[in-house]
Amino acid sequence: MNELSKNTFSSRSSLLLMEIILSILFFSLAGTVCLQMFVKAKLLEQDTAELDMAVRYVSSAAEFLNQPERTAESVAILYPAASVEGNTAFVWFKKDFSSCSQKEACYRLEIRVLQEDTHTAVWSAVLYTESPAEEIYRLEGTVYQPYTPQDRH
Amino acid sequence: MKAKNNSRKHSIPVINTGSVSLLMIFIVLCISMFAALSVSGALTEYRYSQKIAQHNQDYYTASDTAVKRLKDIDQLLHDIYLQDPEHYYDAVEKQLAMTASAETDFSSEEPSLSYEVPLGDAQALKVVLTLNPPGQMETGYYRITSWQEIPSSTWNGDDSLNLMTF
Repeated sequence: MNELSKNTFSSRSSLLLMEIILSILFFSLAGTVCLQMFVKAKLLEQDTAELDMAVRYVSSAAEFLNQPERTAESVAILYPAASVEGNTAFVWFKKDFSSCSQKEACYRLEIRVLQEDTHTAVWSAVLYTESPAEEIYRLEGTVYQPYTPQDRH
Repeated sequence: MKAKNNSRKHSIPVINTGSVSLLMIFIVLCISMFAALSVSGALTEYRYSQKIAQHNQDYYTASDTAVKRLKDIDQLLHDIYLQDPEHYYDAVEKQLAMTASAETDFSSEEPSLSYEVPLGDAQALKVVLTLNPPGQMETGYYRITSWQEIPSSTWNGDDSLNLMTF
């Protein structure tokens, strides 16, 4: 009788052990899938934050450039740390979108103003990631200075 | 003493077979639910941001087209004024009616013209220009009195229900 109960106890223990092993296996499998989902959610959140900031900064530059008298040099009014080369102004940002030098930069805002004729200028504002250089957001437009009767063709 | 031993043998074990599986299923269900919720939340936010970015881009594309059309109209006004300043309004009305690039209203004291540029599927950018009268053209031939987004499709107010009739 005693031997029988011992056998029952041992078979129960091995069954429990088997169940625990299978549960751990199942948990690790499910955990891996869930972890991947959490990572994907985190990456999506980062992309969303990046796109939001890109839209904000590029739109701000676009509104600034939508005035007839604005040139690439006048970008310094908006960003004193901007570097101007010809008709293009560069502004660099850190990961938290605070203005910084080119060395520490994670993002680059490129603002270009081209004078088409005496009354028309074409501008573009593009935000890139610094390395690798990938475009995040771009806006383009035209600014027009109206004629007056004093103007002659 | 014997009775005590028997009671020990028949005591209920702390972990029963199956309870581990049940606990595991509960934990996995909870974790997978949280994971699914966080992914769906992040995805919704990302799509919303993309929508805003796209709308912004559409607005600037429409604005660019509107500025180009404004340039054509301004050049037309400039040419007409230089040719015949005496009959400026009449000539402008005639020319704009021929080109059909804008709707005109010359019935009021200050004539105006307006045009629309499509902005996405359901909106348009409406531009209204009021023509400056001759003698008051120091800043140009017109002033922009409206530059706004408007819905391009009209609202259909038909909310009737198909009720059973006897």
